[in-house]
Amino acid sequence: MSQDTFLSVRGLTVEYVTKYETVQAVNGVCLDLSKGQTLGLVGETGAGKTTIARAVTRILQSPPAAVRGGEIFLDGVDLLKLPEREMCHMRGNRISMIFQDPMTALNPVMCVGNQIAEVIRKHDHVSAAAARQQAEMSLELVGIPAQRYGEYPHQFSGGMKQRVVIAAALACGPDLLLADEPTTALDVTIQAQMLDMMHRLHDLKETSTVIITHDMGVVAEMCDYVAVIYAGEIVEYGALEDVFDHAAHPYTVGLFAAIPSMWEDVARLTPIPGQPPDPTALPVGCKFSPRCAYMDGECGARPVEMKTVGPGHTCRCLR
Amino acid sequence: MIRYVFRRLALMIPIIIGVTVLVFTIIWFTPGDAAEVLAGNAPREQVEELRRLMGLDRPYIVQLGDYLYNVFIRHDFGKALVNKTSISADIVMRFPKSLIFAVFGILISVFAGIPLGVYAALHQNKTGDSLATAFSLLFVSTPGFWLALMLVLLFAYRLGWLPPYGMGGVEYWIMPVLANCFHGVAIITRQTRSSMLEVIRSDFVVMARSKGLSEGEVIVRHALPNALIPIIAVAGMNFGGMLGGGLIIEKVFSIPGIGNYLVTAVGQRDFTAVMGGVIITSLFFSLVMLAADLGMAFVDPRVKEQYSTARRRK
Repeated sequence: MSQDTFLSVRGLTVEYVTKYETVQAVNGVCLDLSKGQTLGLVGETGAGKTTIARAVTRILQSPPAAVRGGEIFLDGVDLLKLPEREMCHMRGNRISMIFQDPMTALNPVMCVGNQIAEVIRKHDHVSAAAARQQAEMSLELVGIPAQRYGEYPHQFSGGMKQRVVIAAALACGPDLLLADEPTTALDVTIQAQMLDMMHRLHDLKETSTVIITHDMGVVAEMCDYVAVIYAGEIVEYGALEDVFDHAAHPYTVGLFAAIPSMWEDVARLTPIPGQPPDPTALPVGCKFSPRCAYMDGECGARPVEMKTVGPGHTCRCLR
Repeated sequence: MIRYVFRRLALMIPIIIGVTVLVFTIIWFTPGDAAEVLAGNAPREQVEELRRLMGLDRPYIVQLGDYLYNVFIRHDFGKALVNKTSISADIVMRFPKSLIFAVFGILISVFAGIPLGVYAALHQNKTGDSLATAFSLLFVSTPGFWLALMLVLLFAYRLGWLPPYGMGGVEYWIMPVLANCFHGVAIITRQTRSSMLEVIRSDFVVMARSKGLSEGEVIVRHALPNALIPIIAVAGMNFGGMLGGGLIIEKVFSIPGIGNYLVTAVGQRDFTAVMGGVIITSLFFSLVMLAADLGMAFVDPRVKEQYSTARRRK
């Protein structure tokens, strides 16, 4: 952990426990993020990306979720040891989260303005009128006219709802923003607008950001660092250029190979063969080994450690 | 919105007329009539004479037309065939009792059922939830009149705490209201529990938590208002049901309300009295349904919008 590390996740392990099975969603994830930087969490559906973000904000539904181990330091404070009352002061104030699906993330029976003003009132202890004024400014900031303060989510388009979600997340000027697939539910033109807007807001507020996505384009656009997640583990971690230009893990290589090229005419996409492992019965060794072209006897035998492949660039592979 | 209310009120006219025709027809085809009840064991000729005097020998369609004319044009429910009292006066005297009865019933149902349901939903699959679920299942399936009789047995005869029947001070109301509302409490508990369970899993509730709101604020401000919509519908139905469905319970406790009146009138084949009671009850039922719909519009802006887009279309 270096001196200017702002968010530090150490060995985070989360399971979903039901009567019949235990899903190992996150298995000993370690992450570091400095102030003002942006980290991309990349991985396919079910890899545990959202679970990591929700564990950091401590909003996992428990049961079934259970944090089995690890530490999450924000500015030196272990969030997992914080009493719930103090955690409430953190949420929405110092840490906030942008939800994946704008269609369901807003309360349908509360006007959008109040959904933003509510965060401000909670944390800034200002009068209702002042909170309203600030909420109107937040709306303007994301490009929604303040007159629409009193309207309800069903009167907004998907893109506008997502902007309201973002306005609510940024209303208190958080130090850490967790954006859970902020663009997945939007169409491409709105995606571009949204990324553009997040860029501007990021420059404005100097917020450390974690962007969860499975879109490599978003990562290239937004991030300083990339962590590739596979079956609840980070398999590759490094600066954007290192991971993009010198991908070391076979899974990362496969991900890039699966992106259709702009310059070549291909009839078929190149998928990674096979399926992600069953999270209720993960392989002992390398989780990717059953799908890996380079697999040999060593890979499946015991857990693989992260190995440095370049300055600040690590990879969980024996090769 | 106002326009919508007026449209709904106007719609009540055909509904009430429909109810009137339907109930009239059912009574017409029921064997026996008021003349037989009045005449008792008198010879056949006397009964026929009485029937002719009361106008009960005229054809169905003439009697129906006559009745509709009297009620809807002259606004006169007429006189009871058996007791010769003015039906309007009877209803004015009795209906408020039934109304109080139903209002207390629904208030208790709502104020006990909603917290109970919320508690059960928040403690899903724990002891409290199981108890609440068992309670509601038990009372949803318990008939009100049986419960009423059991209450009388326990509190009036065994313990002697409460008067078994009749009218008077507060102590006379306790058992009837309890017997009448248990079903409502149970139904509202069930509805609240299931709609809360649906709502507390939704994204916007998780997002409300991520804003740093306390659990209480999340439930009261975000979860409950969304869960309320189906609860209002159920509560409205229930209130309507209590208004007329206190029927047997009123009889058990000898409360001179509209339910008791109706039961007696049906026994006497007194069709004018039955009709009067049914018309008033259905009128109030419609009003309660309208109030429930407006309550839903008040809670949910999407419902409200439906009503006002109807206006925009003209």
